[in-house]
Amino acid sequence: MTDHGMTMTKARPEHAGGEPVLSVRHLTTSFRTDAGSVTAVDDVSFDLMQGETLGIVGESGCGKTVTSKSIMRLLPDHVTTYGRETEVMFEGVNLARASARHMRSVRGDKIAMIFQEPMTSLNPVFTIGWQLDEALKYHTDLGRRERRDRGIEMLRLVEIPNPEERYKEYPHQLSGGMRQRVMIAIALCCEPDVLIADEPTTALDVTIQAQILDLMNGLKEKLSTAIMLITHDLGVVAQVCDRVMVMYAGRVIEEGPVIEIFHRAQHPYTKALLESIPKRGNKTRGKKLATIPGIVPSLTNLPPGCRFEDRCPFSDGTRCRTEEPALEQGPDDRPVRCHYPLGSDRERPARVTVSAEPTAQEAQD
Amino acid sequence: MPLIEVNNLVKKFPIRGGVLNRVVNHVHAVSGVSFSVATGETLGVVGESGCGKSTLGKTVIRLIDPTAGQIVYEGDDITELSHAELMPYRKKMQIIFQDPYSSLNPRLTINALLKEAIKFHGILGGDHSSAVDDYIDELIRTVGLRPDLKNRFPHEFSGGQRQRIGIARALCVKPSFVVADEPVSALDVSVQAQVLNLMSDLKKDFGLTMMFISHDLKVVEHFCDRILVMYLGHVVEELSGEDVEGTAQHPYTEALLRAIPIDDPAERRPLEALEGDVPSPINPPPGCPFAGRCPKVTDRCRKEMPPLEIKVNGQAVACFEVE
Repeated sequence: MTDHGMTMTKARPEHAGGEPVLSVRHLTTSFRTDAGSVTAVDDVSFDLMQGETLGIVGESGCGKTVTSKSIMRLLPDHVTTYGRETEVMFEGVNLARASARHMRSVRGDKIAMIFQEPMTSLNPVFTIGWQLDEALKYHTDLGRRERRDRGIEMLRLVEIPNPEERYKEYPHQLSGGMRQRVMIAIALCCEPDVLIADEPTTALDVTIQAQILDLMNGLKEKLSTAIMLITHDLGVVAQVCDRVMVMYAGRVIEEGPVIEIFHRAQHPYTKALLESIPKRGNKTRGKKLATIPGIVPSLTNLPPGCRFEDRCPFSDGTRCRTEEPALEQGPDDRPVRCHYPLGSDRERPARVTVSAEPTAQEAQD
Repeated sequence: MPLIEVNNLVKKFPIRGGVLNRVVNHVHAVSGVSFSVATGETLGVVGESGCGKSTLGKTVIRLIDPTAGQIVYEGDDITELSHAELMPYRKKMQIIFQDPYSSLNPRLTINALLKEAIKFHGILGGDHSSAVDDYIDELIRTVGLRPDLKNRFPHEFSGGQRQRIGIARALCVKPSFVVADEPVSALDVSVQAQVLNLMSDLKKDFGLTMMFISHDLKVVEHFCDRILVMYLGHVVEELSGEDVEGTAQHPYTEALLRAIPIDDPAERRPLEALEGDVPSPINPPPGCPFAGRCPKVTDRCRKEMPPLEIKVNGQAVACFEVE
């Protein structure tokens, strides 16, 4: 483990399990494109502890989905390259360099994933039962009868009514919420150590979202699975995550326990993101919402300095523009990637307001 | 006088099937909705997917023809007007769509797509090219973009910018009533805030009356004066935008409020999830549409549809169990 990795581990507050289940170091994922090589995830390191829920938060294009797909090695091999120092350690094997055969034995068995679109991630021409059975057939040596019983038991666990009937049905016969439950049942049927949930409730209505989040929380307690939850919805994060990692333009910019992130954000982006959501109960009614001016920089044309510099109200206009800050311990004793983290004694430059009228800034160059 | 008044609006979509392609059934998208919007008011419509909120919005401005009911715009009944007769009203009623990627013509530059609408409706009276150009520049500036970008195509813009163009497209004919159908749902939170701020500025500057449709109660609460809560084609409750929590009485609205995660991990509480799913709008159950999931359900609810009536606190609620 490198120095960088060590500091990251030290930074972590004590958690239930001592040993991380999954340990990611210097994850760098690049794609070959017509416009040259694009680095979608840049030097991301984190540990996932047993029984914890780690939230990965960010706006579209920040690299949160690529991070999860890199861990599962679900990205197309012929255009994807991983950094030389990239390590995805799981049970002593570096998944970033593991064989396709090894990945097949890990996927769906020890690390399972649920996706955003329950409509498109189930196979429409096979029954629910067949799809549950497929995972069990590949990863266990149970007999046909036992697999069927186990499948129905899983459907019952995710609170699907009439599981025996549902087992024989096709995905189109189920509602969106029920399909997502089936996805969770399939993901959990081999009792994975790690569950990666990529925007699991984004396509669902709030009342159904509440059901699914409750279900995930309950299952985590029952099976002590470690969950990596990828989402852009800060409400969902506040509801279920223990720890949060905030990403911006392919970089981790801040991480820490959920309460500290929400109450004592160190990075200006985290703070701005939290302030831009309309609050329940009239707190923002009739007032202007806080906005982040401008847009996320293009990954093909990243600025040399801090990637958030052009949208940051605290930029000093010199150092921030030329030198990218490292991810290091901030004033709140958590890693943050900023020259002038919030809440620090370090002298911050006078608030150089990027623009009084943020909307005018959105125009591209 | 209200700007728009809708009485008992019904929209059923036929389902065809069989060898003869006959109508075998109907999707009951909107079932008897009545409301009015006063000039300058912003009416929110909130509900889960499939509750009929988008169909309602499109029917009100006659993009979809209603099956039954009446739509009155500034005192004129526009329900039965022909395509040609409707033209003068088209420029007064505009819509902003959800998806900024599919609602702009990909083959037209921003300039061309704005000019098309401006000329068609004769906004500047006749063909004064320079006046039109100035007007377009001004409009693009108003929605927070740079006029020199106007010769670009929609695909060259980001989602937030495209939604700004969609807004400019709706406003270029100087409408007085705008339906915004999930205008910020496809956008990232930080961009969503920018577009919401822009819309509230424009609402003031242009004196717009709006119908704001969204599934996100937080956004609707932030933006609207009055809110209709829809469930399976029915309005189940009307809320005051100023005090949603205080005025909510319908069991469905209460459940909806409890299902929204609180944006503060310190106040985390178990979400009280509603059981079950929304029933199918094909052959909806008799009685209250929410009866199957309602914690307060009685026998009467299963047989009889509760009317939307003013209750003790002065708000309209469709529930037998609310005093």
